[in-house]
Amino acid sequence: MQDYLLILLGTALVNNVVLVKFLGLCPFMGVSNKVDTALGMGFATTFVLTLSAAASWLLEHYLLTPLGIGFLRILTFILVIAAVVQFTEMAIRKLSPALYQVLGIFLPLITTNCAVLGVALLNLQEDHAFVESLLYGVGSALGFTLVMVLFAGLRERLSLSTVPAAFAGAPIGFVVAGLLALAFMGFSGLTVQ
Amino acid sequence: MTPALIADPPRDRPVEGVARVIAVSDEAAWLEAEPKSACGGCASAGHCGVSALSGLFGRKRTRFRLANDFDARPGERVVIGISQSMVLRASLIAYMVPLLGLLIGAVGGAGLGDPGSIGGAVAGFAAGFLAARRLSAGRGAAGRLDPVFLRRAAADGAPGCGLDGRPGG
Repeated sequence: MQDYLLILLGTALVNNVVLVKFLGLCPFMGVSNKVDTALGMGFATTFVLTLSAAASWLLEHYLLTPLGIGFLRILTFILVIAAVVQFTEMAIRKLSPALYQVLGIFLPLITTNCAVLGVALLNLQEDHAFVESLLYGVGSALGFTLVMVLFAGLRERLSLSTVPAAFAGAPIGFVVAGLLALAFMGFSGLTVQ
Repeated sequence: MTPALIADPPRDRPVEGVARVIAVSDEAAWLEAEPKSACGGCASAGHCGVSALSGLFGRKRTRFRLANDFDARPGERVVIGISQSMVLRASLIAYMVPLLGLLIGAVGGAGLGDPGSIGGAVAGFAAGFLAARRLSAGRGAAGRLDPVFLRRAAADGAPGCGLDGRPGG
C-alpha cells in the first residue's frame, strides 16, 4: 500500500506532469483563465488520462508485445486516446446532457493533450504492473488538475492587477508559470527514508 | 425560474450559453443549443490539430425543454444559464465516481496479480458508472442542472443569424 501512495505522491508533486516534465502545456495556458473552467477541465483530463493509461497498458501487454508489433505503439496509443475521448463524450452525454453542453467543449482538447500520450508511454518505460500504471495515470492527472487550478487562481488575480503593458496577457502568464515550475522543483528534494 | 440563480452568492455566476428556440407551446419552449468549439477561432486554426480533430468528430446538437415564461418565439436566440457550482458538482459525480470505482476495484484485485486487478478494475468501473448514473439522475441534482432563461441574445452579437434569413436577435 505504501508503494501505491508513493506513486501517487511522486507523480502528483515530485514529477508533476506539467511543471516538471513540461507536458500538457497547451491546456495549461489555454484553459486556465477561470478556476471553475480549470477544475472542469482537470476532472475530464483525470478521467481520460486514467482510462488511457489502463487501455494502453492492456494493448501493450496483450497485443503489441505478443505480436511483436511494438513499432505501431505511438499510432495505436493515439487511436486509443481518441477512442477513450469519444467514449467519455458518449458517457457524459448519457449521464448528464446539460453537463455535456457546458463542459463537452473541452473533451476534443484532451485528444491532443500530449500529457495523455506521454503518461501512457512513460508507464511502459517504467515497466509498471497494471495497478501501478493506473495509479501513475491518476497521480499525473491529479497533479495536472492541481497545477491548473493553482495557475487559474493566480491568473484570476493577475487580471485584476495592474501589469506593465509589455507584460499584459500571455507574457505575464509565462513568467508566472516559470515561477510555479521553480516552486515545484522544491519537491524534488523529497526522499524516502 | 431565474430568481433562484440571481439570489445565489456572487461567486456562483451561471455558465452562459446561447440557444435557439425551435418550437413553442403555451407552457413550454424547445431550444437547441448552438454548438461551440473549444478551439478553431484563432488565426492558426488552419494548421491546428485541435480544431481539425474537433471538426472531424463534429459536435452533436443538444435539445432541451424550458418553461415558456418569457414569451418565446420560434427562431429567436436566447441566452441561457446553468448554475456554476452545480456544473462542478455534476462533473465531480460524472468523472470521479466511476474513476474511484475503477481504482478501488484494481487495488482490491491486485492480490491476484494483473488478471485480478484488471477484472477488479472493470467491475469497479461498471459499478462506479452505475452509481454515478443513479446520483446524477437524482431529482435534486437533475432539477438544479436544468438551464434557465437569462435574457434575449443581443442583435449585434449574432453574426450567424443571417443564415436562416432572419434578422439577428
